[in-house]
Amino acid sequence: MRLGLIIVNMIKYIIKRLALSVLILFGVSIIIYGLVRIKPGLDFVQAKYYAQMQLDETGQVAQMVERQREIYGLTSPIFKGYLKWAGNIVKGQWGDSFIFSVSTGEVELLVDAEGNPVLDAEGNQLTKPISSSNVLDIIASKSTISFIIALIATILQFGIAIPLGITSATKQYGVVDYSVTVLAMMGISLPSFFFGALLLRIFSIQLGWFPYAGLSNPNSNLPILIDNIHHLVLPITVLVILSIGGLMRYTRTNMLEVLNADYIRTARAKGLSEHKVIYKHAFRNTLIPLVTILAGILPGLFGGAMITETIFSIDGIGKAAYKAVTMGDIPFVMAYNLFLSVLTVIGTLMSDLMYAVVDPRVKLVGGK
Amino acid sequence: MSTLVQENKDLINLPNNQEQDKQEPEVSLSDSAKVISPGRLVLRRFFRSKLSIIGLITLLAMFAFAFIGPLISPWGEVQMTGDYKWVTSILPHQIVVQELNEETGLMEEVTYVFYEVSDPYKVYAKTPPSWDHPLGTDQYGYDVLTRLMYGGRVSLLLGFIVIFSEVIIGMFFGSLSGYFGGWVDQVIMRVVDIFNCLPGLPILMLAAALIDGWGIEPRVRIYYLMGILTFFGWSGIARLVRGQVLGIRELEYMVAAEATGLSTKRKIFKHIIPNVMPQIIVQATLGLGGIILSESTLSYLGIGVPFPYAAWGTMISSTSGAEGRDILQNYPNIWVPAGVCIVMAVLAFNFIGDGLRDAFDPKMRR
Repeated sequence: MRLGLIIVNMIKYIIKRLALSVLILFGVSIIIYGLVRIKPGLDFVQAKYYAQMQLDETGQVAQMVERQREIYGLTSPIFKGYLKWAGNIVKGQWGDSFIFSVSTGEVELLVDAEGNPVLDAEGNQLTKPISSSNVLDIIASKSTISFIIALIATILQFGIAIPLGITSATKQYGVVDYSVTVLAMMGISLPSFFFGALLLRIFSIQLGWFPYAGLSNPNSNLPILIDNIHHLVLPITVLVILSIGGLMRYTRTNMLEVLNADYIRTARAKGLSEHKVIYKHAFRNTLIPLVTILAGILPGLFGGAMITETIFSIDGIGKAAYKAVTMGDIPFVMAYNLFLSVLTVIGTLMSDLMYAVVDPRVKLVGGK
Repeated sequence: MSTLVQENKDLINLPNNQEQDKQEPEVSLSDSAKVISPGRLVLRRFFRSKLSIIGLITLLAMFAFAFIGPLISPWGEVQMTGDYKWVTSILPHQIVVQELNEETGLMEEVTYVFYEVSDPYKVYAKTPPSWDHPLGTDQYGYDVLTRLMYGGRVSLLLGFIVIFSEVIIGMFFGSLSGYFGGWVDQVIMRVVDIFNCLPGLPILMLAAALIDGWGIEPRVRIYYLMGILTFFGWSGIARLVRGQVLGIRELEYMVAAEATGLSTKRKIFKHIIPNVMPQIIVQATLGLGGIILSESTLSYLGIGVPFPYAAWGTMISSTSGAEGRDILQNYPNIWVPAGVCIVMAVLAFNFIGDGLRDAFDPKMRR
């Protein structure tokens, strides 16, 4: 009976949160679309193909441009255009990138003008690999490597930051605490592009310990996996050091708060060992606020690291986004922003739900 | 809210110090105690922390460097210094000739490599550090130290203007939301949620890249950059202010203000805002570091402070890509100082912000 009530409440809560998420995504998409539309003069598709349209005599380019503009609703006034674009987004038509294309793995059978198959000397039909410029395909194909890197970095980040945060809280104002605080501050204050360049200069160029760029070296005689790891040491170092500071401080603050709680005094008064007090009684309770951090992890995991990937020439989604920005590939940048917003919204939703699951004090109030 | 603090010398006058007591007439506690205003108390606590003093000194030094430095420097922001270095280029050539091998008596192909060494010629860029140019000159022949000063000017000024606008906007919406509650609160907070869900750097990049395409002249583009940073940055402060206002609204003195029939405007501006100020100041100081980081990242990407103007991020961006490899490897004097400046400025703001937070509210000490 009671369990049933809890489940009903849970479902109500989830539905309410989902509705809110949809509302937020609606707002986000308005902002992104508005940004693209406030430009005076030619819109971005026309601007992109402007030169080609001047040279084109057959009218094919003009047709293609019109088709593209149709997808983004650029042919209509802004309000109608937004509805058209949003409709296409919901339908999964996110538009085509101007500069990227990926092979879909499928092949197209070549036929000549009369519809007969084109054969090679041995009588096999010639095929052509189909490539896709659909931004969703590109995001999917590029985010794998970014995800692997981010996953390793996140695991390392948590593995290092949480123990350090706890140590610095239990030995407050000690040497460890001060060095952790200053290190955390350094990590927060370092710009990734400077830190990356510095690491490259020292460890790659000067000392030659790590390769300069890319993911693998075709001339290397190392096994491919080891070679990849060798290439990823520097980028992951950048990601970990830059993100560790915030988490460390967060853990420390929470731990300090918990250590001042009455039940910790009780635990100590009972005569429990300090180890038990800290790791059994205090640490478990610091995990609750850490759940909120989950919200920030999700976009980080799938969204790539723009600057770091660019500096180390890793062909992930971050580098793609950077390239898209510098080369004016607005469709891809729009899709990338929207993709990240969706991830953020899902992350927030998940962390809210997790919070309710982890912390029994949180009461789910659904419906009204 | 005044606080009584006994000065050290008053300990001498305490009754248990018999000898002193006999010589001097008794001084009452209220006469000898000094009243310290909350502001002074905050300052005292602020200066007690070493890190905040370090932060403050660094910041003052950076300000002097960025605003007084250019007045002293003999070079301009976009002035070719005319400093040059002598360079000899070495061009390898390879030829293959048929030659008789004397041992075997056969004709063999032999490869000769020779180097064509040019006469030394002048290069007006990337000169090494010298007395005239303590950090050398960059790839355009501009003085690096002077560019560094102007870059600091842009970063610091832009940071302050942006944070000021953010505070104004955030305070306006935050206090409206917290004070009125109800549907006003709902609407404003949902908008804040939307802004919070936007990805930080990518959306800034989208906006900056779009504006890049407008073809605005460089001087004006800096203002657009400020506008973008403000537009995407105010939501955090609005949320903070709302939370504080919600708490303050329930306090007794607000009930008293209500009872005396003060106008809403007066209640918000005279009674609520001053009490939110400490948290806003802390948040703004910490936020300044973030804005400087965002600005320099955008400049690094080439869509921030536009070219003829100096910016720290732009100076580091000279190391990126294949053509930047030479600068990355051989000319640390061009890009390392800029990075150090960014780190120092951001660190200083973080230290000061942390110090202020501890000083305003010692209970919140982290």
